[in-house]
Amino acid sequence: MNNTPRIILKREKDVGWLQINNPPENYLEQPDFIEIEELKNFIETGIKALVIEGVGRHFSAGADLEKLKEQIKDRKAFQDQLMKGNNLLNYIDELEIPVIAAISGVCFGAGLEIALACDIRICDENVLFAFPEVNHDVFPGLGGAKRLAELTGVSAALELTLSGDMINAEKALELQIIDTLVKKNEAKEYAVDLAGKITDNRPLKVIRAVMSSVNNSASMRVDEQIKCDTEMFVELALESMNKNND
Amino acid sequence: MPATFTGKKISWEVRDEIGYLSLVDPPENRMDSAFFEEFGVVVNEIIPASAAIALIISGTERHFSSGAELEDLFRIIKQEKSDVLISNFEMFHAVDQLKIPVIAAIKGVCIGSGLELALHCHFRLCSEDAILGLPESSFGLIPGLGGISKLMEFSGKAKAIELVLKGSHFNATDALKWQIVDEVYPKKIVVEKAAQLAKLCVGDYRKYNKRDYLKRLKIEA
Repeated sequence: MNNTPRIILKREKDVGWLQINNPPENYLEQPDFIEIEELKNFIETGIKALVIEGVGRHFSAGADLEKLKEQIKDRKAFQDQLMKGNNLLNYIDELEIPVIAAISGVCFGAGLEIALACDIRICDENVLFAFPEVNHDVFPGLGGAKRLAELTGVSAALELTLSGDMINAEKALELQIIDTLVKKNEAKEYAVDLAGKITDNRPLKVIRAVMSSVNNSASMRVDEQIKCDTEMFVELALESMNKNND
Repeated sequence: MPATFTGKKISWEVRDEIGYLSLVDPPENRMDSAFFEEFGVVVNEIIPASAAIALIISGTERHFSSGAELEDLFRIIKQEKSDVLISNFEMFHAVDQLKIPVIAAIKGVCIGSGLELALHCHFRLCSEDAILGLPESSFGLIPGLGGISKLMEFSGKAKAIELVLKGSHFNATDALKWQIVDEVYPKKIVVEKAAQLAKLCVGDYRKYNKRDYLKRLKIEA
């Protein structure tokens, strides 16, 4: 046994880092790879952006199959873990700060599902993506197929999920799975630079309002969006006026 | 309904079946309360009742619009009239919902709510010299008229987050690359191209055919 934490949370200035720390492949030993409360507490320290990356060469090769086979023997307990994993990714997806995935090496299965729950995906030219679950007669269990379909459309998402095929970074860019393609080993640097550029000099309140509006766009009817955006705008404007009056 | 409207901030006329909505408060064509009052009349009353087969929105003289008047906005908010803001947002949304093709002909500065208006149009044709941006976050605000959601629709979520939070300006080349505008032309021919595009859409206009109309516009040139 070793006691190395499988997930490292650390803060550099206003940017938080979530590192998957099980090198070299960064296999995820359980679907709920971190306690949601622990992550919440970390976010609530006031970070303005979150970068998710893998320690070492790879982002993550996905679930640890050996561990999974053991876990699934207790069906009820595994189902609970899977639910927790889903809640965790939904929480990350809906965070009111920008979440950036800095992807290198392999990004498979549950690893890809984590990346898909982020707002911005930065990827280096050597990355390989896949949903290999089908080769083991299962499917992506953390909402990955649905999130993939939102980016690529249903037909490409079905092809990738049902074939288990591997695709390279260039193809992933073409399919709009990733947002920015950078040179080998430069994803992390690009991500931290971007995180700085979009949060420096921006109050957390403004970042939260922008990100709520972004999240609302995906889930709300237009009339609800209009109401929410206007409320947030008024609140920020009042604050700005009060500041100017001081 | 009158065939023309001549206000202090907006003018409307139909020429050759195409409706031209122009922002006529140069140089910057700022969007203050008076603008939205006139805009509401034109968009909610005059255009739906007119026989125009397409709508082209542009700014008179050098610029499209440099956006909202902050002082004016703050005055509205102080008077607790946030209904006014909701109704401004609804007017922009109504532009998007029009059944006829709506084309923004953008030149010069197109910033803040100016860009938000352009984003609610179905097409954006842009001059080479245009400067675009949503700078609200640098004043501690957010784009409040649907700009975030519309930008996401065209540029994708990641680029929208980046542009809105950075708040910096970008040029026509980048706007084209990020799919925020559909075509870029020398500024002298932007309105002319918009009229040409309007004619191509007419008859059987469907928003989902947008790419086809733009392709035909390229082929005809």
